[in-house]
Amino acid sequence: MKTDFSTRLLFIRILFILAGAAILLQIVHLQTSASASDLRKLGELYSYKRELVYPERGYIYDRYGRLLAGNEQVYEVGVNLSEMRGQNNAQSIASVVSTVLDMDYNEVYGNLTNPKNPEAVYVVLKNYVSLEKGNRLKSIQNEYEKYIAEMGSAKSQSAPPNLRGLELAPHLQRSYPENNLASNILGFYTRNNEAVMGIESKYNDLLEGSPVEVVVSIDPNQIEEIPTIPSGASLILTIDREIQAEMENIIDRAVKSSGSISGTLLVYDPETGEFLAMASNPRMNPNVYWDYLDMKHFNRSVDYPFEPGSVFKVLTMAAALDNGTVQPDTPFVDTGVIEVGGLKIYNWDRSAWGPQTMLGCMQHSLNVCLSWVALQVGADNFYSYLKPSASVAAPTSTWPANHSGRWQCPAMETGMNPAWPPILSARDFPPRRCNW
Amino acid sequence: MAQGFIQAYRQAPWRIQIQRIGSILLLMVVAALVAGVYLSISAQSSAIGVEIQVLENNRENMQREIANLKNQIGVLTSAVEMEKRAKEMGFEKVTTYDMEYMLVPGYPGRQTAMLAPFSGTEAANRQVSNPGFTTSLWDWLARGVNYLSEQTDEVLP
Repeated sequence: MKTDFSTRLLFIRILFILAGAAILLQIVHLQTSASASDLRKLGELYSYKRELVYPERGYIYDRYGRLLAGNEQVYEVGVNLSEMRGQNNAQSIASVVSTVLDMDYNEVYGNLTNPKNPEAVYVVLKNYVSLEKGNRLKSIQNEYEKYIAEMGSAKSQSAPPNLRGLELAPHLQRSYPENNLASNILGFYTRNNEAVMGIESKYNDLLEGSPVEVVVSIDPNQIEEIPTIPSGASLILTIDREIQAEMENIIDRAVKSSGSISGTLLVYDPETGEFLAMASNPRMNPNVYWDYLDMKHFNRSVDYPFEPGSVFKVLTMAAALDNGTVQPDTPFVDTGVIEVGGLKIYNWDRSAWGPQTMLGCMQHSLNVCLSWVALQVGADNFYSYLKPSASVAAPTSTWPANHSGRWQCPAMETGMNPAWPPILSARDFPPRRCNW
Repeated sequence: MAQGFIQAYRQAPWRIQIQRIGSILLLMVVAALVAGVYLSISAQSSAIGVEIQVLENNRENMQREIANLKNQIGVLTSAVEMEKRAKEMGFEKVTTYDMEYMLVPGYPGRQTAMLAPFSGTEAANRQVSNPGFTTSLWDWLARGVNYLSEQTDEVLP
């Protein structure tokens, strides 16, 4: 009897030892086998995930720190199909989403029940949903959950319709709180992450910062702090928002009252050269840039050549004063017409202003007087004052060249015929000579 | 005689069994203690790891919220809004004929905005754990000795 018991005990011992040895052997085998490294790599693949973190885009302020371009929170509304249970659930999601987001019910329902990619586990219903609408969806979802919890039947087969699977992923989008104010200066940033025109485009490298790829551990034991990604640099413009707003009001009224197609207005500090306002009409609202895709000239101060007109008289008179040809009180008798190179030049009102001084010529913006001044300065001297600026691009106008290679500029001294963007008149005054 | 001597000091079989059982139990208790401590530390580490993840998510949410609030301030203080509010409060737009300019000695004028220096990427290398946990005993002793020597130098005439 005792021998039988000992034999059984011995048998059980051997069995346990063999099982233990088998487990140990398997552990050693797993660690040393040919596929061990592959398994390790597979394990690492699931223990970490790589994320490309985009820093927040930098802000744009006016000279006194008032926000012209910032970022606002919006939602991407999508559905996790693996969490969406049954047809009832799809119906309730489609019903709520189509109502809150003004979407077509059948389209939403079709996306949920028959996604374009049959293997898709997540379907995006709408992106860039406003914070208000997103929060409304969230509150409805919470109300559904509260109702289900009260019913106590969420896990049963007869679970009432709910919004499970509906997900709202928050993210930032570019926003312009001043709407169309200074939009011709700012440019805009699209939903495809493209900086278009203006400051947004010119300083995109600074504003967008550098996206950083970070490795995020899924294993909580391996957790590490995600490095802080510095935001893109913010910019302060020389523009004064109040002056800009007022100039835009003025140019809007002027364009409307004169029946003009467009208008532009520049204000700058002559001491520092800083632009305080750069108003343009028409202009866009960058928050809804897609409504202005047919706009030909974005910022007429920069991209549209115009005849400087009487603005040019400042240059002509400055050259004459500097040259010593005239003094502020030099007399001139205005007869209302002067002939230069076979071309008759008249005053803006086609009248004769009689005896004037140089001061009066400037005050009344007399074309005849300023043409005479330019003739007194002499062509060579006059052109020498119109030195080209290397930093300025050539104008797009097509002036005919004469035999000497110079561009002919009839009546240039009065600002007629030559054309360049208004910003050049302000920034590089005197702008250039005709022979580019 | 020899046989009798051994016999006299030999343990009783039940006592030998109890000793073996006791040893095995002791080993099991030690193993259980080690496993318990390991599990406890591991669980705490995991819990803190999850907490860090939650805090990082919170930080991201707050950064978005801050950006959104800045934008809201921008909207609420925009030129159009401010003009509208001013009109509602009974203010009227001033014209150049209504204004009087005064020279205030010493007043430098309205100052333009300045941005804080660019933060750079210093925060990218921030450690999660306190440096005290990673300082070796040798470093700690060396730092203490240095500190003491500096103190001594200071009081020497």
